[in-house]
Amino acid sequence: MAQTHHPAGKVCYDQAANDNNKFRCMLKVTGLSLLLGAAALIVILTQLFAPPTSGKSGIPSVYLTEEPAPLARSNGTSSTDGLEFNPLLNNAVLKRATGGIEAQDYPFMHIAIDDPPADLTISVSITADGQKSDWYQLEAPHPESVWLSLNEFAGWQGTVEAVELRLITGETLRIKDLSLHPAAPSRQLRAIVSDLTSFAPWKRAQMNTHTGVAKVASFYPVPLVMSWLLLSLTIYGLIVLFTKRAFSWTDVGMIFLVCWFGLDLIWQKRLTHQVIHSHHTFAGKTTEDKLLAGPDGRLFAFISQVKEHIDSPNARIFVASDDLYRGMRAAYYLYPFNSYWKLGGPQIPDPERMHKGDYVLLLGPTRVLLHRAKGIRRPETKYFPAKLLFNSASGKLIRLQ
Amino acid sequence: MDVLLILLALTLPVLLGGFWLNLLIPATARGRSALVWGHGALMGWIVIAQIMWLLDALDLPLSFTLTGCIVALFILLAAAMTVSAHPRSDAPWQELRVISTMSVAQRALFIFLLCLIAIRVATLGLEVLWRPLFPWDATMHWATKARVWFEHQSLVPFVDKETWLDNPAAGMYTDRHPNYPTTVPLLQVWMNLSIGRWDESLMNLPWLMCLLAMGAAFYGQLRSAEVGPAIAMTFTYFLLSMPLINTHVALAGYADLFLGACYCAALMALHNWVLHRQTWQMVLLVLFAFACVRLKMEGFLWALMLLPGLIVALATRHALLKLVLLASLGLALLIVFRQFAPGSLHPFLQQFTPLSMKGLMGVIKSLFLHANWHLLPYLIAVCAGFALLLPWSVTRKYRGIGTALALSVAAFLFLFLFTVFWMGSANFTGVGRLSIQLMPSIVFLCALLCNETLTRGNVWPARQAASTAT
Repeated sequence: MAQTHHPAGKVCYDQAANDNNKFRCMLKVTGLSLLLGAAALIVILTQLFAPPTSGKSGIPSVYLTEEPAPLARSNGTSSTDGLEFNPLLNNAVLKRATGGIEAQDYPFMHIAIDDPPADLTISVSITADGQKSDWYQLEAPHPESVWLSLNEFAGWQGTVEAVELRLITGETLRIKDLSLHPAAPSRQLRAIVSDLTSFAPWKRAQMNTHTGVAKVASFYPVPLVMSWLLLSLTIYGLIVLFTKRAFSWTDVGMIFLVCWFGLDLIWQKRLTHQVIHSHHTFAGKTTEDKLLAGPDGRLFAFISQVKEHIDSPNARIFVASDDLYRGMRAAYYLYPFNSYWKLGGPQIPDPERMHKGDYVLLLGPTRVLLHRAKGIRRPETKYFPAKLLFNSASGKLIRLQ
Repeated sequence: MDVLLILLALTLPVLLGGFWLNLLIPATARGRSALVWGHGALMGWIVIAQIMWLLDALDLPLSFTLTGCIVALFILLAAAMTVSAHPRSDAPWQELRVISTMSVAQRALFIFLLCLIAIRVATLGLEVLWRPLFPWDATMHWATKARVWFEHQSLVPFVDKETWLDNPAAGMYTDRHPNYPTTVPLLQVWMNLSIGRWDESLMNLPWLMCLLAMGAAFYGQLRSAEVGPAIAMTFTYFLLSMPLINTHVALAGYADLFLGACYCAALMALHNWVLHRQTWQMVLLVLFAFACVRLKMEGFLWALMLLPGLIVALATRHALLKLVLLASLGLALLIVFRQFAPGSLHPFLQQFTPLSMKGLMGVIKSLFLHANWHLLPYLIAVCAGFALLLPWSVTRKYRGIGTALALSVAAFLFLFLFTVFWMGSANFTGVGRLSIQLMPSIVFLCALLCNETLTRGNVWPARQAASTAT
């Protein structure tokens, strides 16, 4: 805007008005680009990346909460409100027969549970062509309504005979919906949304990489949002080309920023669920109680009991286990006792390097052999005399004699 | 009482570093408050660990009271020197004045991003407070030392397995990596000493502080590099919102986040020293290069990579040519030795392999497919492309930081593509964590290049140009 000889306030007002107009214009252009970019992405996803199907039309959805076909093996009690299921009475497994359907006709599953308890975990298994698949644990913080893309599911092929849900909780559940659906754009989008909003508690591997997806997700979120960004930038380019709008790097930056927000919102949602989960598990507890409540609870309890049988603070303790994680963690929980755990190689050293008074902690499975009369040894060494001090389902503590 | 002690344990390192850097950094520095307290907090944590190491070297017990008193003395000394120095009364408000001159839209964006950062930090803080120690390596060779040193209140030696087996009565301990630097475990010891008990959650709070310090230092150095507040805050948000960095705060216990923060601090100081030749930036560069060495083994390499950056930034064309010839000669000798006398090389250098496609795919997936860095790798790719298009008169000022980072990235790629460590990329057990050590620095360079593009495009209104000139 040209400088004119006005009092300073007028110049500022003109500058501010100009800034506001530019800002509103930028918002309109970037907003339009992003909306049209999103629309384009939806069209591409549903038309070019639709799940492969048999091509048959008019396939009806299959509602597995309704009364099963005669001679089919199913459990759970159907009612008008859905399926009532008591995990305590049915070994936690709900099995519903499908009457034999072709997997490729039904690429989507919907699960809806009424008022699910906080501790509910759901796993899914499919029986197809006489083969039962492994259990897949749902990564869904809100099983009130979850859409699964079954094409990503190992075992979803051929003729599907039954669907099983393993529902771990202490309460009776009302399953409002358990249904299989043919391909449709809306279902595909709902499955993508379910994928993006999935949640699983921290896994050890997440220190190394965060994939951002559930195991049966159709798309990684980053390429998805990157596609949205590219399409939005293309739309923006077309707007610049065919209108009077001048190209501005700020517009490009804002489009990028909004796409980044989109990804970050998904991540923030996951973090929030994680914090709620951690609060539920650990809040208000001492360190010892936290460790007992955590994923190492049983191991920590066992090590606490083991420590009571070690009479010398300077004693050496060898930890032997085929399970790398348990062995490593056991060695850590034994500190400040002097523990030894080796990643790779013999689980305990040669007999001549061990001494009377040393301890050996055997965490099954382990290649170290224990003979109550003769002692312990590796398969290729001689026995070292030893006495069993403590024995539990988690492991054994032995003192060398 | 525990709450007060924890707050004291968290505050002392920040005050220690902050007060001393307050003496070092001039009042006229852009983003001064962020520079002082960001770098100060980071340096304070490193120094606390070194003080504890020194006390042990003098045969004194590890003690919160003793260490705290020494730290408090240094803080008081710095405070006294601050008071007696020429008053800098309006320095803390300088940045606020600059922000107030931004347009309404930019100010709204600034505040919005700050709020997002606050929400993220609060979320991560709650996770750190509630969750006990979780990650693999933390319980394999970091917290193992902290546990033993806290219990014995001294730096009991950790040795390799063979030495441990051969010396049963010598009071030595062992773990997976007994020779790792002592700084990270000492941070956990410091926190536990403050409350007098082993607490697997509270001892991880330094990682949250590291994130905050890194963000503040990052913002401050971007401002020092004449980047406007809105762009600086945007990239600070990018840095602090990346999932893998957040994960290393929430599941604290590794050294990678601290190393990434310190290497970034050193690199930012390198760049701004080359630009403005301010002594305090050189001091920051030296201090944080030393900090890298004290954090993790890779820190040696990253600190070493700063040297070529410095040389390239300062050297004449003639000297550069000599350097390139020297480096080429060194590489040629290495190849010859490897071919004819491999045993004469360091064991690490014998572990070269042909290009590993699995390693390459691991790097590509980790950067572009997985959700570790949001959209940053794509932005990096675009920035790198644009950097080639910008005229030399613009990019020459980035030759120092560009060289240091290019060499670091080359070393990173070499490790995962041409050595036996390709497995660490193929199964994602190493590539992500090593990336954390470099990513903050790369974000900084991206921010500078994006700023060049945005400001050279003359898209800012005149008011923004006026505010960046302050």
